[in-house]
Amino acid sequence: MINKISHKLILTVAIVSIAIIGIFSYLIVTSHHRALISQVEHSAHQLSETIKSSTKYDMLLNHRDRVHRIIDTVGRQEGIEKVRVFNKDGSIIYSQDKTVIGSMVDKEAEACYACHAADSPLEQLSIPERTRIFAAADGGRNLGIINPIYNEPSCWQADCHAHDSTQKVLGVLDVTMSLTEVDHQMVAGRTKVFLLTTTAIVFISFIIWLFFRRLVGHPVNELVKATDSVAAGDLTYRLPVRRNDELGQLGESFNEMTRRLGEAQRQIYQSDKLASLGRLAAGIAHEINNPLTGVLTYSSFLLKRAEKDSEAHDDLETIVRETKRCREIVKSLLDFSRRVPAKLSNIDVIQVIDRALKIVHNQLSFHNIHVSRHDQDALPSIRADENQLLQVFINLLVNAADAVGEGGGEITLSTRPARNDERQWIEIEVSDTGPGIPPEDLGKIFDPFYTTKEDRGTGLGLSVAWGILERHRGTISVDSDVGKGTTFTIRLPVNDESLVMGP
Amino acid sequence: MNDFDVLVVEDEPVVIEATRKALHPEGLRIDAAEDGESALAKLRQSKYKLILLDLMLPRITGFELVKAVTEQSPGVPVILITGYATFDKTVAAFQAGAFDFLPKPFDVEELLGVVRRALRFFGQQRSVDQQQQSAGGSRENLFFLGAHSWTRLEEDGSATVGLGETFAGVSGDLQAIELPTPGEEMAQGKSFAKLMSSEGLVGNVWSPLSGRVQETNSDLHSQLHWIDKDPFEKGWLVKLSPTHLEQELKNLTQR
Repeated sequence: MINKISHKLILTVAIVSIAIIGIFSYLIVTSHHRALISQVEHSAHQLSETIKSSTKYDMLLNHRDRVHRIIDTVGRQEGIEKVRVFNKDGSIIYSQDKTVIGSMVDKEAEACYACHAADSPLEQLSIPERTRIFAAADGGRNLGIINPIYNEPSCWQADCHAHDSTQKVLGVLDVTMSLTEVDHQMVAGRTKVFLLTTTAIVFISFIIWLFFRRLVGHPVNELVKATDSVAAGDLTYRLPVRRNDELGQLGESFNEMTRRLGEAQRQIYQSDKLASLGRLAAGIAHEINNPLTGVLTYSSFLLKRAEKDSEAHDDLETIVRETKRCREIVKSLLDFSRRVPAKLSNIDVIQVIDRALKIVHNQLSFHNIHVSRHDQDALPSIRADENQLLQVFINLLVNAADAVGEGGGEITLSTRPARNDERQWIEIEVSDTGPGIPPEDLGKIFDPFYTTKEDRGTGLGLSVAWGILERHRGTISVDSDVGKGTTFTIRLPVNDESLVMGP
Repeated sequence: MNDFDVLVVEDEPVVIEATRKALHPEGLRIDAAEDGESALAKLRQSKYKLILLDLMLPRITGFELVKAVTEQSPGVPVILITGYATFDKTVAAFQAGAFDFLPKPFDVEELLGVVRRALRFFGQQRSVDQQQQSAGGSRENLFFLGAHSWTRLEEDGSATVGLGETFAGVSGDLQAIELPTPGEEMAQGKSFAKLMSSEGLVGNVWSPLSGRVQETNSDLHSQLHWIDKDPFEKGWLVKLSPTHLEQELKNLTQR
C-alpha cells in the first residue's frame, strides 16, 4: 500500500471519533446509570415509607406478629434483600430473616452512619443521604435505605407505654434492595453503546478510506506513475484528466509541463544534431575535396586533350560533369555548416510574409492552391534579419505547396501576438492540407539532406529554417495528422535584448 | 639555384601531381613542398614566379604561412587553395595578401585561368601591395577586397562593385563576362561573376559585399576592354543594395 496519507487520515479520524463518541457514550452511560440508581432509590424509599405506614398501626397496638408478617411478606418479594427494624440501641427487632432478630447492628457501619456520624442532632435527612450502596455477599451490589421512625404523641400515649415522650427517634427501618438487575441493565447498555461506537468508527473510517482512494489515492497513484515514466525519459506520457478538482488541475499542469519539456528537449536535441552534422559535414567536405581535385584535374586535363567527337571525349565529359556534381554536393554541405551573420533591423513580419507570398505566387497558383490569411491583432515589430526570415517563409511555403501537390488544396497562414509573465513573442503558423507526415518521420524532417522530394529538393530547406530561427532565439515546431495536413509553428521573441549583430 | 616557376605547397600528393600535370603543358616547371617549413626553406633557396598554397597544412595555419611567404618573397603572387572554402576564408585570404583564392576541387580551366593571370601580374613586376597606378581612374572612395575586387558607396545608399588589379590588364584577350541578374543575392566572399578570354576561363570574381543586385553594367558585354582600361569607373560590374554594409566594410581596405 502506497497510501500512507490515507492511513494517517484514517488514524486521525478514528482517534477523533473515538474521543468524541467515547466522551458522548460515557456521558450517556453515566447518566443512564444515575437514572437507574435514583429510580431504585425512589422505589426503595417508597417501599420503606409503605412498610412504615402499614406497620404503624400494628406497632401502636403492639401487634408484633402482624408487623412480622408484613415485613416477611414484603421481604420475600423479588429484588428485596432485607427488611429490618432496629431500636434506638441498635438491636434488630424485626427482620424477614428471623435468625438475626435480637442481634445488634454495628452503629459505625451500614445504615447508622448517616445519622450517628458526628453525634449530630437527629434531623430529617434527604433520600440520597439515607441511601448507601455496598457489596453484597454474592458479589453483586445492594442498595440500602434507612428510614428513621420518629416518636409521635400516639407512641408515648399508647397503652403499651413502650416509649416515653423524650425520645426523638424510636428506631430505624432499613430496607436493602438488590442492584443486580440494574447492574445487568447497565452492562447491557454499556455493551450496546460500545458496539454502536465501534461500528460507527469502523464505518466512518471505511467511508473515508473509500472516498480517499477514489478522490486522492487513485489520482495520486496515477501521478506517481506518470512522474516515474517521465523520469525514465518518456516525455510523451500524458495523464488522463477526468476531473475538475485540484488534482485534475495538477494533472493538467503536469501534462502541460511534460509537453513543454518534450518540446524543449526536441529543440535541444535538434540543435545538437544540426551542430554536430555541421561539423561532420565540414570535416567530410575537406577530406573529400582532395581526392575530388585529383579526379577533376586529371579528367578535365584528359578531356582538353581528347579529340572532339571521340568516344573518350564523351566519357571524359561525363566524368567531369559528375565530378562537378559531387563538388556541388560538397559545397552545399559546406554552405549548410556556414553561419551567415544576421543583419538585424526592426521588421514587420506581416510584410515579410507578403513578400514571401509574392515570390512563391506562381508556384502556388500553378498548383491550384488557395492561400488564406488569419492575421490576429496587430503584431509588434521584431528585431530580425529580414532576408533570413524571408528565406524561412519561402522554404515553408514551398514545402507546403509541394505537400499539397498538383491536386490543389489550401495553405493557411496565421499570425498572432502572444505573451506570458516573462516574455513576449509572436506566433506564425503555416498549415497545409497535404497528406501529412507519418509520426516516425517527424523527428527527421529538420535534418539536413532529409528530403521526400527525391531529385527536386536538397533536403536543406527546413534545417536552414531551423538554423535561422535558432539564431533569432526563436523556435519552429511541427504538428502533423496523416491524411489531414501539417502545421509548422514559428515563435519569434519580441524585444529580445540578447540578440546582437553578428554570427 | 634550381630553375622552377611554380611552388606548390600541399600535403596531398594527388593534388601536387594533378597540378604538375595541368601546368606542365604550359611550359611551367613545378616544385612542391609538403609542409610550411620546407616551403619556407625552398623559398630561401630558389626564386619562383608563383606559389600555390594549401590553407590546411600540418603544424602551421594557412594564413600565417601566407604572411610569412609574402614577407619572404615579396612580389610573388600567392594563390590560396583549400578544400574547406567558406565565404569567410575567401575574405580572409585576400586580407592576408593572397593574389586569388581557388577552392578545391578545381578543374584544369580554373587552375590555368588564375595561374595565367598571376604569371602576367608577376611579369609586369607589380605586387598586390605596391598598387602601381597601372590602370586609369581614381581609387578614391573605393573599398578593396585585396586587389581582387572593389566597391564604392554611392550617395543613394547603393554600392557599385568592380574588378581590381588582379584582373585589369592581366586577363588576356577578354571574350565574355557572366554577370548576375537583378534581384539575385550576393554575399561577401561568394563568387558572383565569371570572366572568359580567348584562352578559356579567366576566373571567378569574389564579391566584396553582400546585397541584392539592383542593376548590372549591360554595356560591358560589348566594351570588355573597359575592364583593362578603366576598371574603377566605366568597367564596373554590378550595382547592389548592401545588406551587411557596416560589418563587411571592416574586412575591406581603403587606399
